[in-house]
Amino acid sequence: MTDKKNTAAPAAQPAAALEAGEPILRLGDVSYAYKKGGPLVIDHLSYSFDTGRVTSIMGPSGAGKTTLLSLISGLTVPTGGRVLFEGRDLATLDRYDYRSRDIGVIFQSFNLLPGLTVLENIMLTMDASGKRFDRPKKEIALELLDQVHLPRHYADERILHLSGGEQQRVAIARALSDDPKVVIADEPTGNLDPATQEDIMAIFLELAHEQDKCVIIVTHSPQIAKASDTVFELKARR
Amino acid sequence: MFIVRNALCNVTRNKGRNALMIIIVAIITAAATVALAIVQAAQQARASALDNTTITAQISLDRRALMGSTQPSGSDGTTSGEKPDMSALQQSMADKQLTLADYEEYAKADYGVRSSYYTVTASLAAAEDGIEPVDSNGTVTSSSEDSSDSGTTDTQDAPSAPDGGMGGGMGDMRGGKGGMTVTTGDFSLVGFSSDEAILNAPNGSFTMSSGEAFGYGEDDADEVIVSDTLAQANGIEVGDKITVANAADTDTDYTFTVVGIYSNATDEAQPQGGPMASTASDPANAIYTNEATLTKLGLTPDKTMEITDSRGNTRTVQSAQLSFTYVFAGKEEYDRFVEDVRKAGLGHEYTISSEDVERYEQSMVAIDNLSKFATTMLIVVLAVGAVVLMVLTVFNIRERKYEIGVLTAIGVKKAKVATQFAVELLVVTLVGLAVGIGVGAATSVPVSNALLSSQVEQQSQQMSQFGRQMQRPDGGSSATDVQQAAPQLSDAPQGTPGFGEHAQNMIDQLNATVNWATIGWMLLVGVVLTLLSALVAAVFVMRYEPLRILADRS
Ligand SMILES: Nc1ncnc2c1ncn2[C@@H]1O[C@H](COP(=O)(O)OP(=O)(O)OP(=O)(O)O)[C@@H](O)[C@H]1O
Ligand SMILES: [Mg+2]
Repeated sequence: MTDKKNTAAPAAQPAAALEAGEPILRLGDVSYAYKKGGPLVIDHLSYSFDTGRVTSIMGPSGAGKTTLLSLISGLTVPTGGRVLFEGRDLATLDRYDYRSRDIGVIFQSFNLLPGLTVLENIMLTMDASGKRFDRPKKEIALELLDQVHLPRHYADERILHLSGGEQQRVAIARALSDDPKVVIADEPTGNLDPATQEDIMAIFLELAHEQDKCVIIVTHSPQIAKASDTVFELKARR
Repeated sequence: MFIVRNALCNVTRNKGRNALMIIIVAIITAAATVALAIVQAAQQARASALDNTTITAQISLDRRALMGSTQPSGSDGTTSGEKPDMSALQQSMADKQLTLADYEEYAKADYGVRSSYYTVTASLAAAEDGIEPVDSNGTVTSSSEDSSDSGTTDTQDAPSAPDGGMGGGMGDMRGGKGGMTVTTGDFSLVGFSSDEAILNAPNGSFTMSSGEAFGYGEDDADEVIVSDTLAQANGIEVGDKITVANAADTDTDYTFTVVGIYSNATDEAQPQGGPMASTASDPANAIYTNEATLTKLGLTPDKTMEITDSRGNTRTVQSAQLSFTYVFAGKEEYDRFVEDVRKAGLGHEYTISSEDVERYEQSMVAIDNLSKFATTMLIVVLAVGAVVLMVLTVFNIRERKYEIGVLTAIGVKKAKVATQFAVELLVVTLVGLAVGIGVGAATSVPVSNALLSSQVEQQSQQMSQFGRQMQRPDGGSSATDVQQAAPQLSDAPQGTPGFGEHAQNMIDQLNATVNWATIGWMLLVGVVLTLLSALVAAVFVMRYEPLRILADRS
């Protein structure tokens, strides 16, 4: 649990440039509509996410939680307001670089590459980040498997042959592989048994508390919400 | 670059799909390779068929052109029932006849002529106490008087006869040209201008079975060589003197010294004019000598003599016929000659023709057809191939939208994703190309020869339909028959009966081997098509919205 060997060298990020009090991620009056002139799925939302904490986003289905995550992860840009990462507007950043280096996303449907093995999936993300690693990627990837409590013999298994819970762990391992500052998970415990849920939650807590990452989890589970440091309630749209 | 590595891994990951792709590309490539090899081989054949081959050509008077000009204008140049004015025609033919000097005028190196030679042929009758001609059955005719009356028989048209240009007297030579156009008399006396003329002897090449050939000096006049058949029939030996008579005036005897006996390389004992042919047209009755002999005897083309045929009609014919042949180093020189000679003022009533070139054109028909077919096939195959490749790529990439989504979601730039797809496509198509080229190289020769032989067959069938070779230019019959044919203009159908030998002479082998040029072209085309479909893939990738990953589930 306290395995802290994942010491990928932090990329030359202007982390020090963070002004005192500036959160790592900030939503500044963010609005979003899927279609131009369509209904606002996110309606003038402001919020700050702090590093070293697990933040749970809760809300009824269709409230726009997944949409909010896609804005935070830079898959799209808000129609109104700004999403700020370390004080910089995501709209002005290279969001491919941002996605590949600064955040790790665990999608609702995992979105692993089914044809690749567990290890290949993890290492592809490491390659994509363009970061330099001080140890062989394979070694890091295997340690990540330890970290997400996936036995190492799964390393060369194809994703297709894995169960949902196992895929979930691989997705987490992949999200962590390039040592991002922000870890985002969309319903990571959605279809897992309580024991596994607890285990996964423990991993996230460890990431935030031990490795000082900003962890954002979308969840419907009250237990998860209770275990997290902060809960952000997203109102249902009218 | 990790994206290339990933692409290479993907190629092996999706074995089934890529194997199918490779097979499709290979089939298309093989077909295109064969087609391209055929097109190239056909071009090659066209360009090199007359390489390293001397070409002989002749200038002849075009009877039809002349006929048209002597007819009253208004009957639109055709013989519409109205018979051409024979005497006027004969007169104009005689006027237009080229003399030796005229021929030699054009035989200049300036015109590209490498060398020239000629034969002068006169017919002779058997003398009262001289040797007897050999008749069609190889026996000595009993009555020389009877045999001299078959003067109106059609002569063999020379075009069917290949000449020495294609290898100095090949074994399958048939008949002769030039000299064998004698229609009267019992013997033909052929005077050669040079050894080169002898090499291209009208009856095909021959060898000396005893004695040796005559020289060309004035002193050598009266020296002749006779065929072994004639020698046997008359018991002639080297050193003997033989006596023959003038064809028009049997009281004029000529005596020659036999310096040698020759044996024709071909066993073409039968005269080709049919049973009615004069024995003079029998190769066995050809007496060879130098041109000086005929000049000395006054048997020259510019003189005429009176001949009486079996019906008692008397005609005036030339004492001898001249067959002048120009030799060129190659097709280029020939083409230049045609151009230059026209510029030098040779009228259009004369045709310049070359057996070699005509035969070459003829054999090119099948090759050209095949080439056209192959070109069409190449275009169709490449077009179909391009479309198939595009469609496959689009299907492929649509199927892999999810993959694009995942890659862009983890921050791989679209350009890199597009590169990955392009590399995958390139690797797969290159393998397909290599396999296809290999298969194409292995099959191009048998396939193209099978196609060519079917073309040749078709061509021969067409010819047998016509009863002669097709696409002969009018008046393209060789130079020499024109001169003697003047008196019998209307009775001889034009063209050659011997179409079979032309089919034989056609190029029936095409060396459609796949060479580096073919491979280079195929690779170029293949890579261009691949890049084109990679472009389609790239457009697809570029239009992908990363957000869609949320909707695209695996
Ligand atoms: N691609 C899209 N195009 C248009 N509308 C969309 C799209 N994706 C989501 N929406 C709409 O946006 C709203 C918010 O959807 P979102 O997926 O963010 O909800 P959610 O809070 O994640 O719900 P759940 O808890 O069920 O996952 C919904 O009303 C949905 O219909
Ligand atoms: Mg959702």
